[in-house]
Amino acid sequence: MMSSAAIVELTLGGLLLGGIYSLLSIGLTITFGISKILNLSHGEFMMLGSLFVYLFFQFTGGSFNPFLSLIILLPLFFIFGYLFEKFLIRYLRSKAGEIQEGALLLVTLGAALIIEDLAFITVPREFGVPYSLPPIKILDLTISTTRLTILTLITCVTLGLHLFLRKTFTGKAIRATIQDWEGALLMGIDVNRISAITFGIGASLAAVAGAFLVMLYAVDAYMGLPITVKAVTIVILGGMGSIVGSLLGSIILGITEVYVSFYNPAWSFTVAWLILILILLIRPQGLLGKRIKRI
Amino acid sequence: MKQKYESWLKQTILPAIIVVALLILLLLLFLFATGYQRSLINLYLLYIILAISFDILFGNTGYVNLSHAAVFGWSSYIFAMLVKNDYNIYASATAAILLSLAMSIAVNAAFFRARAAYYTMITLAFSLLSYYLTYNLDWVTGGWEGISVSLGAMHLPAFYAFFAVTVAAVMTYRLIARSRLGLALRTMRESEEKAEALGLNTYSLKIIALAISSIFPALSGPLFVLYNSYVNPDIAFGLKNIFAPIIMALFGGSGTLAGPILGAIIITTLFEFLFTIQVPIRLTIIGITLIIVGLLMPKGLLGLAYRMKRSS
Repeated sequence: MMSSAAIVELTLGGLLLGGIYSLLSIGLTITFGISKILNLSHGEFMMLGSLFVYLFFQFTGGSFNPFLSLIILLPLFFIFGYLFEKFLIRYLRSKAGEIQEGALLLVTLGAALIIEDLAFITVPREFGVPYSLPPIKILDLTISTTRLTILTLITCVTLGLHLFLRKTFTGKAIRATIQDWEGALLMGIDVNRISAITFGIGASLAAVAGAFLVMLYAVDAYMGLPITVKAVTIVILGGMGSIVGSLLGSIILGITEVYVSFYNPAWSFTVAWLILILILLIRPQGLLGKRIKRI
Repeated sequence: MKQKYESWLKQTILPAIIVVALLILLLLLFLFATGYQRSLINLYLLYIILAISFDILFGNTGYVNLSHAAVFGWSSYIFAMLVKNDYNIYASATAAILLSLAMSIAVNAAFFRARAAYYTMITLAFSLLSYYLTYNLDWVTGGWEGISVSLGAMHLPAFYAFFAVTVAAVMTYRLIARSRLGLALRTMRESEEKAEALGLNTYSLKIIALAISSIFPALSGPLFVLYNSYVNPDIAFGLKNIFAPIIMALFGGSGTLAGPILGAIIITTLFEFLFTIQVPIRLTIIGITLIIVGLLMPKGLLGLAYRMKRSS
């Protein structure tokens, strides 16, 4: 039987992992919504985020607070995502009529493989950031401040993104473009610019997710592709285009993974995939998605 | 009537004869080849089968089924597990083929409710799940070590059977391309809504095409184990295998008979070359190849050759 301390610990860990997944999958929801292209290199932004924080931590002598590296990481990956859209995705989208969907898949897969391989040359097989803030004690519970800070930051980022999409002009323009590309164009929205900004936001969300992940676990350069597939599955699970759905799917997945790995670490990935597939077999339109017309 | 027969002869029998002649050449090569060359020829046949049968669904409907190679994986694993437990070889092969085929149809019947990119992703997730499951169920699958079976001298019969499956796959591809089914599937590729408006049941058409294309990886699973006496998660469900059929079909030219075969031969050669010499940036080379194929050769090698011939 689990003690209550273990339950608190595991639930917190699950929420944390779910939060990291949600940053990744929300980024994917909006970028897929804009471009309608399945971007298999989305997870690579996450891997590069981890790599950036790791290298930053190494170069500053291993004593610098890794949270501060986020100040450089965010604008850097925003620009990276912006350029990624401008030079690759925009070109692919303009060709969408003549190139098959399978070919688009190959291009983003190729980009993912190149990024992975080049990253693998620069770093050791597994890397992590061994940094933790002093823990706090409440009654007999020891709570890691690093984890608490990460959870708070994830909540802030998610809420901030929500407010950004609801309240600001650019945010509203992003939602309009996701709904109807031509319609937004006719309303005088610079859709190309909006699309690039969305990819910038998507890339920086993924990079932040990677930065948090590397502070908690050791990661490797080849994590990108499996985690991309996981993010896409979460997006489908939550229901396409639904940000709340992505959040829900991420938290279900995170909590499952953490609880299973408490009993048997080897099974955590497998059970998570099993649950994703089972839910999709029962509800292919996703948890919060609109019902697909039965043919 | 005569003219119709002649055009049928020209378009169906002639390419088939050429392909069969090439395969017989391969058979003769096999008889004089050494051990490594023999297993290489076997590998070429396996990928030709996978690429052609993948293109039955992909080339006609545009649906990217990334669980295609996983059918091969299940089939080989079920076969290896049964043989390991001392069941009769033929009975276990039949069971493996039928079970993996049934599994493929059952899961895809659910997955086909999702369309286009979503379908692709769910099938990819399913392949990865198969990979993790074979790793984790180590008391039946042997984990990362896989299963070795000792079957004695089954090399030559296994090769003949492989050869027969390849011929069957080529024939089936050709027959479907020329049939009403092929026409219906290609109508669907243009627009599923319009196909439905014309009275086609797109859902059952997709299932039929999928079932036909899944027969061939299901058949080649036990044959592969018979030949190599060995299977592990990377051989069965590795990322290389998951993406190999689509890369090969697109590289050669999807929607044609010669395309996937050409693609399978060239890409297998490239993979074998890169993984034998162990260069540090081999994934980058593959990545660049994929980008070139995707961006510059939308109709594959055959399309490129056609364009060059027309412009000169």
